[in-house]
Amino acid sequence: MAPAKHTVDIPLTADKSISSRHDSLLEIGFQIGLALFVLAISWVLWLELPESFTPLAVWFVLLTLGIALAGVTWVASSNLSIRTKAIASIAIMTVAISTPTKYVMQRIADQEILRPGRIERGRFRHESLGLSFNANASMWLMPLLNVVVRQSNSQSIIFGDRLHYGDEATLFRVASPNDPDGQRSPIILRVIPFRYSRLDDAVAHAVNTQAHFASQQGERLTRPVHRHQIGTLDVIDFELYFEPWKLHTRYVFIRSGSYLLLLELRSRNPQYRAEFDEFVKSIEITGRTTRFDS
Amino acid sequence: MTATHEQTESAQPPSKAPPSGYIIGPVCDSIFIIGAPILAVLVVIPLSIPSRSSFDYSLHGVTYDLRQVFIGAFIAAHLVLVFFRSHINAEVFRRHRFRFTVVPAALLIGTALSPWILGLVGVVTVWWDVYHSSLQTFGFCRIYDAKQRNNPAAGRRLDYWMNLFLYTGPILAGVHFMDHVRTSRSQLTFLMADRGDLSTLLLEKIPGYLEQNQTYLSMAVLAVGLPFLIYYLVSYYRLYREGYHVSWQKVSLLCATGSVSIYAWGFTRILDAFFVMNFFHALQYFAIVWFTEQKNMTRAFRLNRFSFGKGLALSWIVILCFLYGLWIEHHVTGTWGTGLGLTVAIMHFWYDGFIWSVSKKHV
Repeated sequence: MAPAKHTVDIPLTADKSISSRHDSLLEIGFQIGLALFVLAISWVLWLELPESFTPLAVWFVLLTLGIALAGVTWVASSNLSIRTKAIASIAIMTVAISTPTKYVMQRIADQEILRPGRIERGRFRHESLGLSFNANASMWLMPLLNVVVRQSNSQSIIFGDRLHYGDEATLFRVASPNDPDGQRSPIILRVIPFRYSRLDDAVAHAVNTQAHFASQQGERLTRPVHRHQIGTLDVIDFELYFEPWKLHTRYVFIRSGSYLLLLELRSRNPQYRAEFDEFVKSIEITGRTTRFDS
Repeated sequence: MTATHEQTESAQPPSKAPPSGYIIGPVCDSIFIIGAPILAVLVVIPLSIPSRSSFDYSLHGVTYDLRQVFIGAFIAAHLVLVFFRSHINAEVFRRHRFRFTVVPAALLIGTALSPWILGLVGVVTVWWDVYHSSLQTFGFCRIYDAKQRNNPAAGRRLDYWMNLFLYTGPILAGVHFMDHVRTSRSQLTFLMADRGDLSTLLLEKIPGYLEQNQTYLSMAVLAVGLPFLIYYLVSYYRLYREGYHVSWQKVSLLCATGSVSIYAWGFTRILDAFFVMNFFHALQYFAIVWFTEQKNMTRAFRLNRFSFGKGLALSWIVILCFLYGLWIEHHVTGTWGTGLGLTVAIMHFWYDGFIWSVSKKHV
């Protein structure tokens, strides 16, 4: 005997209508999500990320909501299996939250960059830069000059509280009484927002700086641009000698996350190298990337 | 885009030529494909008259020339557009899964992890871009010939070399050859910090040698190019007598591209030349990709059920591609970002060589 057929009356028209409405909702949701995403990305590409809390929060919500809504509705309206849809949606939500969070955290950290450092247990520490180095008792520290050279339009010196790309801040001067004639050997730290896309650009920056200083009358290049490692630090440096003042200057580039640090170490003491090496070796960067090509 | 085929040459058309012979239509072809080189010149002339400072725009504290920002973003936008054909078109994707997944992933990882690979891929990109640009016009020539129902093999080699000469010749023989060499050199700046024999060779000796001997290169291009032009015309005359149907769209495209290429690379400033040549190339590419892939794109943007769907899908594509272009040109930091930009560029050049086959009737 043939098994009895179980038939169910399916209200096709109603189901189609519900399915169509469901699809339309997903499609409209995708368009809204895409619009929010485009708005948030255009904001960050054409303008700068906002500084104050409210616009920063608005931007964060726009981007998070944009990625989440566009991503999840697109996946939901696709022909993928339920499991793949679930995995993809979780991945999208992770990106939707982590990417804007990373940008906002970076932004907050960048706003702190001109805050003064402090000396603690024989070391100078600058929390926002993640920078620390040995500061012994003989060192004379001018903590924060906070001079920002704005180079974007007309070059001007301002006393700002944050750095824009193209600006350069002199963060502090350190000096030790080691020169034969009793003069101090200053160490100056300049901070430049790091926007290099690759090692090439960082080297090119050092080469341009070298060319700029070396072209000045009386300057002689004693050690051209080279890249090496000091401890875990990626370092690009070069040295010049200024004949009229018998002054040795060593320029050391290191990276701290989104900032390029340029140390200028000057001395009239021919034995300066050992002391500067000691100083550079004592530098540590924590919590930020120091590689030029990452 | 580039046309590919594997058949033997014969001038005899398989059937009667159709009346039209356009790819998209008379108006769109005239503006976006055949007339694109002339349009680019018409756009750049008024832009080159005002002083440079009138286009200054401060982006994140750095002053840029808005024209450079636009053309840089437009170039990158058209590069990334290839993925709408290679990855969104399911049929094309199925044909070359390995090339569309494993190869770009491997190149991205390689460029991100090795400055050497990054630098060398950067140099390759500069020159492959030149080669690829000449082959785009070649591809259009072959499609126009196919529209006339000519045998896809007839005159193929002739068109290939003609387009290479028209685009590459003025670069090699023109005033901007050294700009291309310098751009290649800048990809290897990281070697400056090493100071080895290899860095001296790549950064100083080779560029210096090329600069000193460019005159010979110019003479060689002229010595080969002019006789080839005559040979090209004579050969096509022979094919015509054997039954080949002349595509006037193709002739117009070749005349427009050749004259604009010589004018731009030979007689204008580097910024203008770069703008003109890349503007028309990218415009043509947007036109052909949208024409061939509009259904897939509209579906991918979930707009196929709406009456305004195509228009909105096109807007999304233009906006998203330009945002990518702006990001990759002016905001990217780190080797992963730079590696991504180079990977997209290399994949664009490579994919275009096989996803638009005329003989396999892919277009």
